[in-house]
Formats: sequence, structure tokens, C-alpha cells
Amino acid sequence: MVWRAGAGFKFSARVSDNRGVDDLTREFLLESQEGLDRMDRCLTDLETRPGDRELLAAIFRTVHTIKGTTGFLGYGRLEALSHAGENLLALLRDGKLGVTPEIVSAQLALMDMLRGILHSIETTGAEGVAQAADREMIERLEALQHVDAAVAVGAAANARGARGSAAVSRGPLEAEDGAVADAAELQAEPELAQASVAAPVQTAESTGKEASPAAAQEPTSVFSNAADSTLRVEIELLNRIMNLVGELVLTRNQILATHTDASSLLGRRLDMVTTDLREAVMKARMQPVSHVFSRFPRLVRDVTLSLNKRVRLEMEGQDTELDKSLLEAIRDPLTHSIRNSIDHGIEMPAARLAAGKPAEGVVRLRAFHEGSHVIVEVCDDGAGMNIERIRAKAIERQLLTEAKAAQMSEREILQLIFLPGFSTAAAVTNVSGRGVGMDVVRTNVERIGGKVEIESEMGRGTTMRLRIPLTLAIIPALVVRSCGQNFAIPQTALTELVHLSQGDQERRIEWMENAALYRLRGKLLPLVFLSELLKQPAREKGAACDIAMLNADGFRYGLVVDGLADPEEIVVKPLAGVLREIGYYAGATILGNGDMALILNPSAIAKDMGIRASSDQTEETAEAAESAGKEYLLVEAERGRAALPLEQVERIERIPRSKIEMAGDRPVLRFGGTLLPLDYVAGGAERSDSAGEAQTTVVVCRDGDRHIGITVSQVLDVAAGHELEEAGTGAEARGITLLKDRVTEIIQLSEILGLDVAQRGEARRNVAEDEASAVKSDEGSREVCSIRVGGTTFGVPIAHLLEILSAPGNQPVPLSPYFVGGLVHYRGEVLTTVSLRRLLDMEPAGTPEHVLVFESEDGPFGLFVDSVGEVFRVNDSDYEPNPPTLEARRQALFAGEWKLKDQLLVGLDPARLVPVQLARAFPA
Amino acid sequence: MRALVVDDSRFVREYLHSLFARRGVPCVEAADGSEGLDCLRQLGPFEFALLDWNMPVMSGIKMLREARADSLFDQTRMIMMTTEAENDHIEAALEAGADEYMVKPFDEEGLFEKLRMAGVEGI
Repeated sequence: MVWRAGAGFKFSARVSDNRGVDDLTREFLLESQEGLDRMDRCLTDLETRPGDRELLAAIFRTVHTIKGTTGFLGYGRLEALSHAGENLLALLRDGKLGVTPEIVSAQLALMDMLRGILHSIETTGAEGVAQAADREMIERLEALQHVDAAVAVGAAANARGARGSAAVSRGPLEAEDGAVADAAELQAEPELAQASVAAPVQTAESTGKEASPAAAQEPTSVFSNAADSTLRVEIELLNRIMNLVGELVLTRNQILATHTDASSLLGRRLDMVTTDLREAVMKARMQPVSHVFSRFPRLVRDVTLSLNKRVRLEMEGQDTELDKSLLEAIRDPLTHSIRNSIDHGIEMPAARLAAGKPAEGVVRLRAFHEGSHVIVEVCDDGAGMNIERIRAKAIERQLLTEAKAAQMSEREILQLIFLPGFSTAAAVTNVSGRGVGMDVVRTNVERIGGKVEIESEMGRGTTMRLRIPLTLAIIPALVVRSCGQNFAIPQTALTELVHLSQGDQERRIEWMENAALYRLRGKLLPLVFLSELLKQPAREKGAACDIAMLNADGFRYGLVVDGLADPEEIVVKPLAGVLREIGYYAGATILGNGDMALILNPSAIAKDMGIRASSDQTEETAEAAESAGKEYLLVEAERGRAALPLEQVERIERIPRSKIEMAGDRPVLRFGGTLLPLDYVAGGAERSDSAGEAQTTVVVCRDGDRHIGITVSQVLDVAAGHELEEAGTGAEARGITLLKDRVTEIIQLSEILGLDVAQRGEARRNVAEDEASAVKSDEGSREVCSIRVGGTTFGVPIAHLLEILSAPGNQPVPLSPYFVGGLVHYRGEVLTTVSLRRLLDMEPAGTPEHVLVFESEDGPFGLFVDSVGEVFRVNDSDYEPNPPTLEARRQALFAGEWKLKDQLLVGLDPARLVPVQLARAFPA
Repeated sequence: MRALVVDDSRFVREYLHSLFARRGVPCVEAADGSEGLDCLRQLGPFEFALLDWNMPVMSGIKMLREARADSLFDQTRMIMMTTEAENDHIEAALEAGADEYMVKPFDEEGLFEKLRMAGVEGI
């Protein structure tokens, strides 16, 4: 129950969006979509439990509710369609009609249609005009009502012995209800023969709940998910709460540090509550995997039907919880694996019978916890993988030499299917086997820090195992110390810890030339000294230290650190681009005590240190992938086919041509707040979509941190190939490659972007002549904040100033570009902060006292300053450009100056201080 | 004056809530008949209640019968809302003790007209 005040106070955290759909319509859309999702599941269940009254009543009620609510909003199309569905369901509910596969198919098709209309309402605000398909659907549903009349007639006819031609194979359904089966025969739909094959079963966790009348009477069978005791919350809001909790932790620490008397009872309570709060918020991000699983019965049904196979889906462990963002990320890999299992795994019924298996195959979906991971398995009892065929294919595709292939174990051969472009499907079906295959599954799972494993036994089946970290945002880590700084090592990489007391180092660490090794139970492991790696000041030789033994993606080594702190659950905060490029850091985090720590990336460190993976198999795979060459996106261009290096392709968009604008003489596309330059090199013939509006395909590419959109007429495929030679066919397309046995031009992004940058550089100089429009204004005066750095007073326009932090604390980042002063904690985020002193080659001034936080297109960043003065208004008439005598770097950094009565204010333009800009403009 | 809205559709609850909010009538919501009865018993008295017919757990008609069996709620006007406009339904509802019967969909005017007909005053 919900109690509400009359003023319209909203209980749930719903945010109305700006698409012109009001709150009520939004509520309607949400409720209807939820209803439809539930229906998919119920309808497929209905096929196995056709007599389940509770289920029938629930299905009826859902459609009934949709119909009932559409009336309020005057959606005639929806109402007419759902009304037809409801009428048919009413007959089922009242037992006047038996459940047939045709009815279920029609209802599922209806659900899809309703979904389409809901989507239209959501995006356009209107349900669109009724189409011929509406009429057809209503007629189909009405005809199915009348089939029942035929049942009655048919039943009578049967009594007269007119049953001769019933030669159609029977599934369990029809066997249960003879009259219905007969009616279906009368209707003689071609679908019929297939219709009986699919019967996905929803196995309850405890299993053993058969589709018996007893189970059917359990009212909890379908709707035990207590939807009404839950609340819808925007992910954004949760993230904000998470950040605020981080702030709270920091505040708590400051209180405990400054008020020693508070560290008594009150302090401890605050400490406890804060910790609990943090845990609770972390938990709030978790959702049961059933959110993703629930769509699979429908998928299995549809795929099975289209392939004429018989497959039962069993699901286990649906209550297993996973972070919301991870859940989204495994949706596609799982879908792909299940399709694969049905398409390539499970045999045709006849083949199964011949092999001595039941005609009906089983795909089992299982989720469970294992340590700090959640395992999701897709397991089938099909034919299993043909190792020899994979081996042959790998040789044929030149992924392996014959000699090498002969040496590889079955397990190793099996892993080859994860290589890009590897697909052994005999024929390309519309279900799977379209070239993009298991490599996509692997890529998606690895992107979220998971792993994919595959096991297969010929004739017995295949198991695909996704190993997913519990949460993406929060990982268990061990905090270690090096030169007085904190670093976090993800627990997943940690195998054990070794402590060396003072003087032990020399005895226990062995040296081979310049490489340090440690003998761990007879095995020599390479060592990496963290302080050396990060070029931190050398420590006293032979001092006590700890070695963290790591195993990251098969790289085994020991990381030598000064000391260990506590293991902690840490929240991963992304680093700004310039710091990400260092490579050794996976992110940063704010520790429980408010300190910051950089999170180490053990596998990147290993690769960089030249440590070889200990598992031969990993090496083999990597080598094989290498020999497959580079991957390219194959596109159709005006003058023929062209290829774009896949690693540079970010995404592909279809956009209406009307969205293309001209900036000067260059076409650009507006994306959010940024402009994407477009290039027509590859042509870009117009193609019209059904609505008649001219559409064009834009491949958004990236080279370093520059983006460009390439317009093409069509995207063809992804293929692997080697760049062959340089050919002078055009200013921008130099390389050629052999893709799919055809010579194809490679579009060289760097060339296009190079031209682009040169042009823009020209433009920039023009702006510079005009001098610092950023610090001048239209009104003749503007507000600036005065700051002091190393004896100079600067004026910063306050337009992009977000906040001024005092005594912010600072976490230096080893190996960072010289102008980065460090990381600062800002509202739960980690802020990259620029040091003006370093930029200007001044002596560092000890711990910086203040940080100015600016907004930029790349997110907020900070600027360390010695002190902050007041904000005052300056007149443009007092403004002068930089004096020509200024040294080059200052010339580029400063934006003119204001000559005031009693002082000189040097202009600073925040846009020039964005870390990414600085990295480009002032490389070390 | 307070209202009780019993309907399994969030949309319908939201819709009614918005209509009542405009007139400053606080409104308690329940998602099925059993919750509706709990509300009557724990949060009452209510001037009136709007009951949907077809709901999970406990239907509106069952809730109506149970509520009418308790003299505590004699003063609460009960209005059934459904999409079925057949006479059988209307009769069954009135027999079970409904003060009025309202066919979905309805608009603001229709709602308050029905409430007045059911004897709800000052709205």
C-alpha cells in the first residue's frame, strides 16, 4: 500500500524525461512493457502446463489490464488489438477452448505487435495509424476463436470416424488434449508439424516440479517475485548515492582525525553506520539474473521452431544476484551461446534417436556463486564439438601450421573457436553462424572482467561457462604501499603473499643478469619492483618488504612492495585519458579512510615487463590470432570497396541526411554537445529508408583521441587481412589489403585527420590573432577570479569554474605527464589536477592548498593554485594581448592580461588547461 | 476527506491519484483486494473506496463482500470499476453492496459525477 499526500508527493524516484511523454503515459508504458515481458514467459509456460488455471487467469489479467488502461489514454489501435487478444484468452480461461501452439504463437505475435506500438508511443508520442497488419492480427485471433467451433464440429466428426488422416507427429501437448489436436489438424497449418516440438520448461530451483496438476495449483508458481514491494530507481541516482556515501566516509574520517574526543562512542557509531550504509548501497545495485533469464524461454521456443528441432530449456539459480551493469553486459553473450547450442549443438530429433538419446534435447542454463565470481553456464546435451573439424578448419584458415596443430591437445584446439572470424557452421543459418561468433562472446565477457571457458565431449554435449566478477564497480583488493603511497591490487590476480624481513632480500631473491627471481616452492618466478617500475625514489637496500604473488591472465610473477595494508572492497573510479595511457593503472579509488589509491593493472604490468605467460595454450592462441592479420571493416564506397581498420572503428550510425550541417566548407554532424567532422572519402550515396527520408551510414572512427565520421553507402562485413603494400591511388587511401580474396583499399585515418588538423591549426592561428575571445566578452566586462601561483596573479573567467576546494589532499600519480599534479577527491570522483607550477617549470610549493575545479567536455578537472583571491569584474578596455616578448610556452598558455590600476592580472583560459589539451600542446 | 483506490494497475492508481490530488483529496492506494482490506482496517475510515474488479490475490468483488460484512465500514461509499458493462456484472456488484458501478475508461467528469451519485459529498 502506498500512502500519499494530496499535494501529489511522489513516492518512487521516477524522473520524467523530456520527450514530451507525461508521467501518466510513462507509467502506462512501463506497466504495459512489464506486463508484456511477463506474458512472454507465461505463454511459453502455458504450453507445458496447458491446464494451469492460475496461469491462464494471470495471462488474461495482464492483457485485460493493458486493454483497460489504453482506453483512458485513447489509444484506439492498442485497444482494438488487445481486445481481440483478451477475447481469445477469456475463452481459454473459462475452459471453453484448449491451449494450442497456434494460439500461443498468435498471442506471442500479438505481444510483439503491442510492444512495437508502445515503442512508437515512447519515441514519437503517438501510436501511429492502424495498418493492414492490425487487421490481419485481429482476424487471426478471431479465427482462432472459431477454431473452437471447429473443435466441436471436429469432435463430432471424429465420433463418426472421420479421423483417418491423423498422421502428424504428436508432441506432449496434443497427446494431452486430443480434441485440440484434432482441431489443429483440421486447420492444417504448415506450422503444425513444428509447433509441437518446442516445449521449454521452466524448472524451479528445487527441480522436480513437473507440469503436474499439483504444481499447477501452487499459486506461487509464477508471481512470487513480490513486484509490489520493490521500487524503481534510476541507476544515475544510485551512482550519485554511492558517491555521496564516499563523501560521507571522507567527512567521517576528518571528524575522527580532528576531534579526538569524538573517537569515543559517537565516533564509533558514525563509523559503523557509514560502513553499513556503504554496503547497503552496493547491494542496491544488485539484481537477480532472472531479469535476463526470463527472456530465454521465448528465444528457445522461437529458435527451436524455426529449426524443426525439439529442445527443452531448463533454468537454475535465477535468484543469483549480479551488478546491474554486468547483467546487461552478459545478455548478448548468453543469447548468442544459447542460439549456438540449439543451432549447432542439439541434433535433429531423428539423429538424436539414432544416437540413442531422447528426441528432445536439453539446454540447461545455470547461475551460481563461486568465490567472488558468478558462474553462468549454458550446457547442452547435443553432439558436442568436432575437434578434428576445428583442427582442420584452423589449418585451412591458416591460423595454425599442420605441425603445430598436431601437437595441440583437444582442450587447446577447443579454445580456437574464440579466435576472430572462426566459424565452423556448415551452412550459414539465420540463427547463428554469421561470421561473428564466439569471439564476440569472449570480447563482451572480457570487457567486464570476466572469462569464458568451453568444454565439450563428442556425442555428449557442450558447456559454455561465463565467469563474471560479482560487481563491476566494486572489487575486492589488497592495498599495498610503495614509497609512502597506496596502491590497490585486485584480489582476483593475487595468489599469495610472501614477507621478507630485513636482510632477507639478498638471501632469498636470486638474480640472473638484471632479472630478479624468487624461488617459490621450487619454481622460479620473475619479480617486479613496484618502486622501480613507477620510477619512485630507491629505498634503502635490503629493507623489509613484501612480495605479492600474482597470476594475471596466465602471467605469473611477484610484485615487490614496501608493505601491506588491509584488504578492502574498493570502488573503481575511472582515470582521465592522459593517466589511462600510462597503462599500469586500472583506475583509482577512494579508500575507506578517505585516502586515495591507484589501482594497479597486473596483466598490463606483466606484458610491459616482458614476462611470458606461463600457460602454453595462451601463447598459442595469441600467436594464432597474430597470424590471422589485422581486422578490417569492409565498406561499400562510391569508387568500390574500402576497408577501415576495425580497431579504429568506434561505432556505426544511421542518420538522416538532414542532420548533417556545414561548418565552413566542412560537413559536420552534431552529437550531443560536440561536432563530429565528416569525410566523404568513401562516397556515401544516399539511401532512402521506408519513411522516405534520406539516410546515410556514418562509421565513427577514432585515431588517438581525434574522431571523424566516414560516410559510406553500406557496411559489408568484418574481415581479417594483412596490409600488402603502399599504392598511390589517392591522397588518403594508400594501403591495400587482400580481403575475402579481393584487393581492397585501406582508408588511412591518420592521413585524413592529419589534413583536418592542419586545416584546423590554420583556423586556430586566426583565432589567436583575434586574441583570446575566451577571456573577452560581449558586454564589455566580465567576472574573473584572481589566483596566485608562484608570485604571479592570474585572472580566470568564472564561467566554467565549478568549485574551489581547500586543503583537498593530493595523490601523486607516478609516471604521469609532468603537468599533472596528482589526483584530488571531488564529490566522490577522482579529479585529475593540473599543476600550473610544473607547467611553468617553477619549484613545487609543498602541499598545494587550493584546487579550482573546472568543467570541460572531457569532464571536470582541477588546477592547483597557491592561493585564491576575490572575484571581481574587469573591463575589456583594460585588456591587452600577450606581450610579444613572452617566452613561447607562456605565450601559448596565457590569454592576454588585464592592466588594472594597482595590479596586473594575467589571463588564463580554462579551455587551454584541459589535461588532454595540455598533453597534445605541451608534450614533455 | 480521504479516498482509497484499489487497482492492480499502477497506471490506474496514478491516474486516479492525479485526479484527486487536483482537488486536494488525499488518496491511499492498494494493489489488490487483500491489501485494500488491510488499508480499510488499518488506515480507515475512508469516505469512499474505488475497487477494480479483476485483481490478483483477491478480486474487487470479494473485497467488497468482505468489507460489507463488517459494520465498521458502513459509512464508506464503495464504487466498483471494471471494463465489463454487462448487466450480470452490474447486478452482482450492487447485490454485493456497491454504491455505484463505473465502467472503464472514464474521465474526470464521469468520475466525480459517479461519486456524487454514490453519495459522496463536498468533492
